[in-house]
Amino acid sequence: MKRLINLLILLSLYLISLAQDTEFATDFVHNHSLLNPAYSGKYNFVSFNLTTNRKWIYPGSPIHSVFYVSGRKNHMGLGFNIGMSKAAQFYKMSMGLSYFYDVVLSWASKTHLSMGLTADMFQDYLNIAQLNTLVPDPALQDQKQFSRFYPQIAVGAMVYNDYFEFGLAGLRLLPYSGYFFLGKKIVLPPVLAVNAAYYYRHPIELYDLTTEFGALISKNSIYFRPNVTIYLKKVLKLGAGLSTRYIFDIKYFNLYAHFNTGLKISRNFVFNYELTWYAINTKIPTIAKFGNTFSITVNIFPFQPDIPRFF
Amino acid sequence: MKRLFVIIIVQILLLNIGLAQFIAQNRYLVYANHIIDTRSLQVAYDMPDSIILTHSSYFPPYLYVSDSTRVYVFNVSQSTIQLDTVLDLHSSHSDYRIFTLKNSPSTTTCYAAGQIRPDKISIYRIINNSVTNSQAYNDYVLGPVFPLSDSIGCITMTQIQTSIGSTDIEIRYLIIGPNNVIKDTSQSYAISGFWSSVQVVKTFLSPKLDYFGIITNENETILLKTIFNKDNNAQDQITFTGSPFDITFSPKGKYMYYTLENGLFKYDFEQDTSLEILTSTTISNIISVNSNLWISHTSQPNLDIIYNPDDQTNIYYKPNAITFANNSRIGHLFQQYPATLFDYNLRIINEQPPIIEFTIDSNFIAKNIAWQEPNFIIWTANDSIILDTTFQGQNHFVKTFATIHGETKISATAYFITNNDTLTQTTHHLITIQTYQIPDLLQDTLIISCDTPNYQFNFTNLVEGHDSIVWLVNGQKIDTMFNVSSGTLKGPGNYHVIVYYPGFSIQDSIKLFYQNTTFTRDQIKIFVNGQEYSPSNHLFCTQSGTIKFDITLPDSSLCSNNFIYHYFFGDGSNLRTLNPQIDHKYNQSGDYLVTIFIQNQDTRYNYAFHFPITVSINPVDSAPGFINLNVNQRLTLQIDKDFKINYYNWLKQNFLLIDLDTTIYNSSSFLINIPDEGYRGENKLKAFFADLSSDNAQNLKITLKNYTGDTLTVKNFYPLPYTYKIFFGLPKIYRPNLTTYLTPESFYTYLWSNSASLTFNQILNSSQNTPTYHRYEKYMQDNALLDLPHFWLNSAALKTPRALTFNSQVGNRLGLTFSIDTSVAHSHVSIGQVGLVFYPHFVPGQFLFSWSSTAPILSQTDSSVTVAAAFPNKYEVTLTVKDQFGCKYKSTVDLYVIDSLSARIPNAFTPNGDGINDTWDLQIFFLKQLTANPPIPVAVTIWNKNGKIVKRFLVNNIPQWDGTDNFGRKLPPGPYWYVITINKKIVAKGTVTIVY
Repeated sequence: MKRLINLLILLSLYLISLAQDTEFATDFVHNHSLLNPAYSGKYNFVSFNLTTNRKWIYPGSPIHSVFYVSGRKNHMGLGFNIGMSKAAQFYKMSMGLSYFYDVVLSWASKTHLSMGLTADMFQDYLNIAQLNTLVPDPALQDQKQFSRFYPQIAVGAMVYNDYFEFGLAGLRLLPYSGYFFLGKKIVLPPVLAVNAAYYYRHPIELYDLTTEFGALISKNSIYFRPNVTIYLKKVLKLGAGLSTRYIFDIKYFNLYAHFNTGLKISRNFVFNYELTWYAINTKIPTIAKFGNTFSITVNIFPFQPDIPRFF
Repeated sequence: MKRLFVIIIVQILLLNIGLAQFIAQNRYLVYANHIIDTRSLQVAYDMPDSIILTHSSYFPPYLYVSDSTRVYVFNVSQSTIQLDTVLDLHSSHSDYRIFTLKNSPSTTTCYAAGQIRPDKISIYRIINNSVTNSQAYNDYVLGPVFPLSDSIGCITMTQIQTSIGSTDIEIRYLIIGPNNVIKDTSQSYAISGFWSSVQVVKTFLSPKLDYFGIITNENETILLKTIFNKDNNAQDQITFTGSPFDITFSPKGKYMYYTLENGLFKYDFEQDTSLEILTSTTISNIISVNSNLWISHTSQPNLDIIYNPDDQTNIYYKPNAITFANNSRIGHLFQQYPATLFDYNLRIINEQPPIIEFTIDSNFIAKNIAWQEPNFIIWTANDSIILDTTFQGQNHFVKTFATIHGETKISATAYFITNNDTLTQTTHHLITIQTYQIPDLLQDTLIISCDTPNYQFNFTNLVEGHDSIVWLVNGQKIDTMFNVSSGTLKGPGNYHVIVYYPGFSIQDSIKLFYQNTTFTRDQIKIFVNGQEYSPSNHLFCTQSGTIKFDITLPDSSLCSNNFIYHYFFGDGSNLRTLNPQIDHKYNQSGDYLVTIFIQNQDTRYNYAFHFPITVSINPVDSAPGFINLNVNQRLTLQIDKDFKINYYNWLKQNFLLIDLDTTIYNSSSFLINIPDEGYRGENKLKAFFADLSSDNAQNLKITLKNYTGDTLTVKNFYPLPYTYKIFFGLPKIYRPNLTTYLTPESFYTYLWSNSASLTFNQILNSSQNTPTYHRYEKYMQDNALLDLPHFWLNSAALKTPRALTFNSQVGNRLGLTFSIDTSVAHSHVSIGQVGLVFYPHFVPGQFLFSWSSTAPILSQTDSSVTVAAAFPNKYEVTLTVKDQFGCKYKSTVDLYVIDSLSARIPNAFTPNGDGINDTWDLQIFFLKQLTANPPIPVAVTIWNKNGKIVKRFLVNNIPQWDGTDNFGRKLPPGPYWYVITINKKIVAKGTVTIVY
C-alpha cells in the first residue's frame, strides 16, 4: 500500500498541475479541504463530497462546483478533486491531486499534525460563441485565443485534536503569469489561508457547538469568515455566520450573512444547505443579493477508522 | 385370246409439256385424245406380243417403242409425236424379240435386252439414240433389268443346267458401267429337287448392291435359294422356304422383309438374324414406301401394316388400305383388286397446290388385274391426259407417274380393242381422286396469354375419314396415339407438329408469343436505389456500395416475369437473371456505364440500353452537422453552411453568395429608411435605429435585398435590431465593413461562375455600391494560402444567387468526417413573436431539403422554414439535406425562446479601439424612451464578480458605455453584471462581458 501511495505521489509530482484558486476556497465551511490541503488528513477514512455554490440568483451569476474525494489510512492519505466554475461566459475547470501526511503530536491529548499538498491544473475558457456583440467582431472569431491552461499548487498544515484545530495554508503559490484574453496580462498574488475551529460538546450531549473561522489573505484583499454551528442530537444542524471581504486597492468592503442548515442522516451521509445574503452594504439589486450552497458528503469506512470524537 | 398388255404409266412431266397419251394396241397410238394408227408409223410390226413403250426422263422426252428387231424413238412434244430414229438391233434375226427396254433414271440411255430365243440374250445400250453396245450371251434366260443410276444398268440372267438328280442354276448379272464396261459376274448354285420343276421366278438386287437373290419355285413352294454377295462371295447363302412369298428391302438395305407362310419376317443382314414380325394374317404384299414398310393383307384388304424400319418398336396398323400419301407409291397395291373394282374414292391428301406422285412399282404383277375386258385403262384428269402408259407384250409393267394439280377427279377411260381390231372406247369412272385443301394444322404465329401460357390446339376431322395415328411435337410423341384431337404446347417458343396418318403425314410449325411483350424504351422504367433513373438523376448514394436496380415494364405487360434481364454493371461483372429487381455491390465510388439487355423468352423482344450512373459510397448513413444553423443569444441569425472542405470536394458545387444588407423594410408602415449605401460597412449600424418599443415591430417584415436585386424576405420576425450574419463554409464570408474575409481551410482553387479563375493577387479598385470589382481581403486562418493576401470578387458575377460557384474535382469520397458545431447548442434565443426563418441558401436543385421542427412549421421552402416559435420554450429545428447522390446530412439547432429584452442586449463588447464594438451600445434598444418628450430615464447599474458596483449611468446620458468605471478607469476584462431600470422597474438584466 505504501508503495502504491508513494508511486501516486511521484505521479502527482510529475503532473504539472496543482493549485487551489480562491474561487472555491470561500466555500470552505462545507469542505475545509478547499481551504487547507491538510484538512483531509484529519479523517482516516474515505470521504466523498460534492459542493455546489451559486453566488447570486441572477443570470450568469458565478457558480462553483467541486467534487472532492479523500481518504487516509494511518499516516498517509490522498485526495482528488474535479471542479468547475462558471461566470457568465467564463468557465474555469480544474482537476487536482492531494497528498497529506498525518502525525501524532501528543497521544495524551490526541493532538495531530496534518500536512498536505495539492496540485491542480486549471483551464480558463471564454466561450465566444455565447458572446453577442452588436455587430460581428473579427476579434471574437478564434476560440483558441480564449482558452488558457495553467497549473497551481497549494500547501498547508493543520494541528488538531478533538477540541480545536488550527491550520495555515498557502494557496495559489505559483504565480499566475499567463496572459488573459486578448493579451491582457493578469497577475494574481498568492493567498494565505487560515482556518481555526473550536468544538464544544454539551456534557449531556444535548447539542454540539462548533465555532469555525476562516480567512483568505492576499496582497490586495482579505476575506474573513466566522461561523457558528449547533448540532442538535447530532442530526439537525443549524448555523449562521458572517463574512467580509476587503479589497485594498479599490478600498472596497462588503459584508455577507450566511445561514446554513444541515441534516446528518448518519455518519455516512450529511446534507448541508446554506443561504447567503450577500453584499449587505451594497446597492446592487435585491434579486442579486442571495446565493445558496448545496453540499453532500458521503463517508465510507473501509477500515476501522479512528473517528474524531466530535464527528 | 389375244393377249394384250395394258401398261399404265403416270409420269411427271415438268413445266407445261403436254402428256402424251398412247394407246398402243396392235396398231394404234393414242395421243392427246387422238387415236393414231400405228400402222401409219410403220411400227406395227409384230405388235401384239412385242411392243415395248417407254420414255425418257430427259427433255425433250423420247418415246421408245420397240419390236423384235428395232427400237423406234419418237420425239414427243406437246401436240405432236414424231418418229425420230429407228434403231436396228438385229435385223438379221427375224425371230429376235426385244424382251426388255429400260431407261436409266435420268438420262436418255436405254438398255435394251433382247432375247432371240430362250437361251440366247443380247444386251444393248442405247445412248443418244444410237446403239452403242451389244453383247450376246448364250444359254441364259433373261432376268430383270435394273436401272441403277444415270449411266449404270444391271441385267440379270440365269442359266439352268440340268443333270440327273440335281439342278444347277447359274446366276449371272451384268453391270454396265459408264464407259460401257460390263462387269460380268456369275455364280452357280445347286438347287435341290426335280430339275424340271425348278424355275427362277424372281431375281432381285439389294439397294446397296450388296446382295443379289433369286427366287425359284420348286414343288409349289417358293424357295429363296441364295443371297450372294456382289463380289461373288456366296458365303451368305440363306434359304427361306415358305408360301406365299414377297420380299422387299428397307431403304437403307439393312433389312430384308419377306413373307413365308402367313408370316412377315425381317432379315437383318448385319446381324444375320431373322425375326418374325407378324404372323396372324395372310400377307399379300410388302413394299417399302419412303421409310415405311407397307404390308397388305389379302385376308383383310382394308388393313395394311405400316412399319417404320427406323423405329422398329412401333408397328402401326393402317386402318384404310387405299390412302396414299404424298410421294407414296401405290402401284403394286392394285394387284389385289381387279381394275373393275376400283370404284371407290382415292383421296390424296397433300399441300396446296397438291402435288402427288404415285408410282406403280416395277414389281407390279399385272396378272390379277389387267387383262380382262376392257383391255387397258387410260386415266384422265380434268380432260387432261395424266397418264403415260407403256405397254409391254409380257405381263410385266414398269411404272407410272402422275402429277395432279389442284382438286382433281381422276377418271379412267377404258379402251379396248375388239376382236375385229376396232378400237372401242368406254368411260368408266374407276378411280376418283379428290384432293383437298388441307386446313392449316397450325397458324403461323399465335399470341398466348401470359397467365395461361399453354396453348391447347384442337383438330377435328382434319382429314375426313382418316384418323391420325401418331403426333409428334418437336420430335416428342404426345401422349395419345390415335385420333388425337388436341394437344398442348407449353409456353412460348417454336413448335413443329407432325401428324402421321397411314401413309402420309401433315406437318406444320407455329410460333407462340406472349401477348403484350413488345414495348418501347419509353415504357421501361429503371429505378436505381428506389429513384427512377433519368439522365439528370444519375447520382446515387449508397452506404455499403450496394445499388438496387429495378426494371419496371409497362403495366399492361402481364408477361414481364418472363423476361430475362442481363445486367452488365460497368465494373466488369454481369448478371443474368429472371428477376428484374437485383442488388449489386460496387466496391468503390465512381462512374459506371450500366447495360441491361431485356430479352423475352420467346425471343420476340430483345432490347438493350445503356445508362451511366455515378455511385457515391458514403459510409455515413446520415452525416450530421455540416450545416450549422446558428442562433445566438442576441437573436443574431447565423446561417452557417460550414461545409467541410472534403465535402466541397465531393459536391463539386458551392453555395451562393448573398449580400444581405441593403434595405430593410417593415410591413407595418414603419419603414426603416436606410440609404442604399448606408447598410454597408460602418454605416450598417444605421439600420438598427428602429423603434424597438413600437408595437408595429411585432409584425415586422424584413426584406433583404442585395445590390444585384436578389431579395430575401423574413416575415413575422422579431423586431429590430438584429444582425444577420451569413457564414459560408468555404469561404466564410461576412461583411462587417467593406472587407470580406475568406477563411479557407486548405488550399483550393476557386472558379467563378463566369468561368474566370479566381485570382488572388490582383488588385483593381474598390467600390461599394455598383456591380463592379470589390476588393476583398483574405483572412488568414491557417497557412493554406500564405502568399495570397487578396483576391477580387467581381460583383457583376453576383447577379444570380449562383454567383459563387466552385468547380473542383471529385476526390476520394471516403473518409469524410463530420462534426456538429456544438458551440450554439442550447443557446438562449429571445423571440418576441411567431416566426423564425432560416435561410440556408443552398443552390436550388442540387439538394433536397427537408425541414422538421418540434414547433409547428408555418411555411417552408427549399431554403427556408418558418416555425411557430410563439411561446417561450425549447424548440428544435432540423434541416435534413440530401445531396445529389442521395446522401443525407442533418443539422439540428435548439432554440430556447425567451421573451426577454435582456437576451437581445449585447452581452459583450470589445473596447480595444478597433472601431468595432468598442462600446456597449444601449440606445438603440430604448429609442422610445430616449426620444420621448420629456425623455424617460433609463438607468443602468453594473457590478463586478465581487458584487462591487463599478458603474451606474443613465442611457440618456451615456448611450454607449465604453467599459470604464465611475471614476473613468478602464475596467479589466471579464464578466460584469448589469440591471437596467426604468422608473425603478427592471426592464433588463444580465451580463456584459468586456473582452479585449
